Amino acid sequence: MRKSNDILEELKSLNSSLVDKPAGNPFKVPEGYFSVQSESVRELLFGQVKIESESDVFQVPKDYFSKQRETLKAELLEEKTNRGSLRTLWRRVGSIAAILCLFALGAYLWPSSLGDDSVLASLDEQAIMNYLDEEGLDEMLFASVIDTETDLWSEIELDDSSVSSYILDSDDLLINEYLDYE
Amino acid sequence: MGELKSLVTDEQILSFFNSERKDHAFTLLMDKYQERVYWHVRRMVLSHEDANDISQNMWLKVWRKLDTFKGDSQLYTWLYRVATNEALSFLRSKKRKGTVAIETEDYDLSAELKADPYFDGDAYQIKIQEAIQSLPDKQRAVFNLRYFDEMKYDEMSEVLETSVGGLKASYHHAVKKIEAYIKGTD
Repeated sequence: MRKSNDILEELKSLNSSLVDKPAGNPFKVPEGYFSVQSESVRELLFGQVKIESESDVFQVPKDYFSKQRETLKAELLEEKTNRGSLRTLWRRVGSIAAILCLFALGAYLWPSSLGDDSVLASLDEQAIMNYLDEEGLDEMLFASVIDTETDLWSEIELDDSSVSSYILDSDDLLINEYLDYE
Repeated sequence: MGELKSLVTDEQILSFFNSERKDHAFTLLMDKYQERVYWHVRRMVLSHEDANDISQNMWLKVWRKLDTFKGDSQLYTWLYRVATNEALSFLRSKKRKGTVAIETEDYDLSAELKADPYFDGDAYQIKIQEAIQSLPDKQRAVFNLRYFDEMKYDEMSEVLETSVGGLKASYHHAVKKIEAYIKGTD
């Protein structure tokens, strides 16, 4: 039954039979309905709002992301190709340099090991002296030594220390020879 | 939450809404008025499923339109207006599609209500529901707002955008029709 209020008074003034009738709510809802509805509406709304606000603040041109992907792919491909050709070039340069080095080393080492002067330089001077003495070729010694000295001095900076020591020894010998002559 | 609902005023909710705390404001608003608005819609359409759809759409609309609320009326009467409009639109649309069986002669609302798992009324309540359903849609809204929600005429005027005099006349006619319906079926 209704409590006394202006609605009831109004019904009375209308002489309505509804005054004595209950105005209860015969309808029901599933258990927990209102909290479920509240949650679903909020989830629906705030998810939507998030997307809307993001799209309002941060906008990108149409198809921006697909175009960006394409551009990046193209750039990466180009860079890869350039890097590949550079690598090929560097490999070629390296190979040529290595070959040149080998040639240079070969040219440096090979002729000096096969030359006559080097063969002589590798022999013991005492053996040479003994040989000349035995053959009676002492007279030739001076001229031979001079030639040898000239040749050796021209290579002194490039040749090894054994050659230098040979020169010193030869000089000593020459000095003695001169003394003897004078 | 019940205490919070009664403590928070509509002005506070609106000020939250205008100070970038929209989510918070909306939660408070829904907590405060969700049930009242649902019952109003439910009395208009009777079915829980329909009432659920309508009230859900109504809250989505409230969220989108709350920015445009000028404060010319009270917040809660504005909510009722949105809800009533949604319910009336729903009923109009249903009639256009010819899915409202209530106006056909062989339609048995009583049987439908009895079969409804979410209806728990007695014989009189079934009868008064039948009587209310026989009213035109807008008059039904007037009767429900006054009789069940006990809303004041000036507030109803804000909800239905109709003059207080017009509403009083409509309500009085509705009371008489319902009485006549109940007497006629006794």
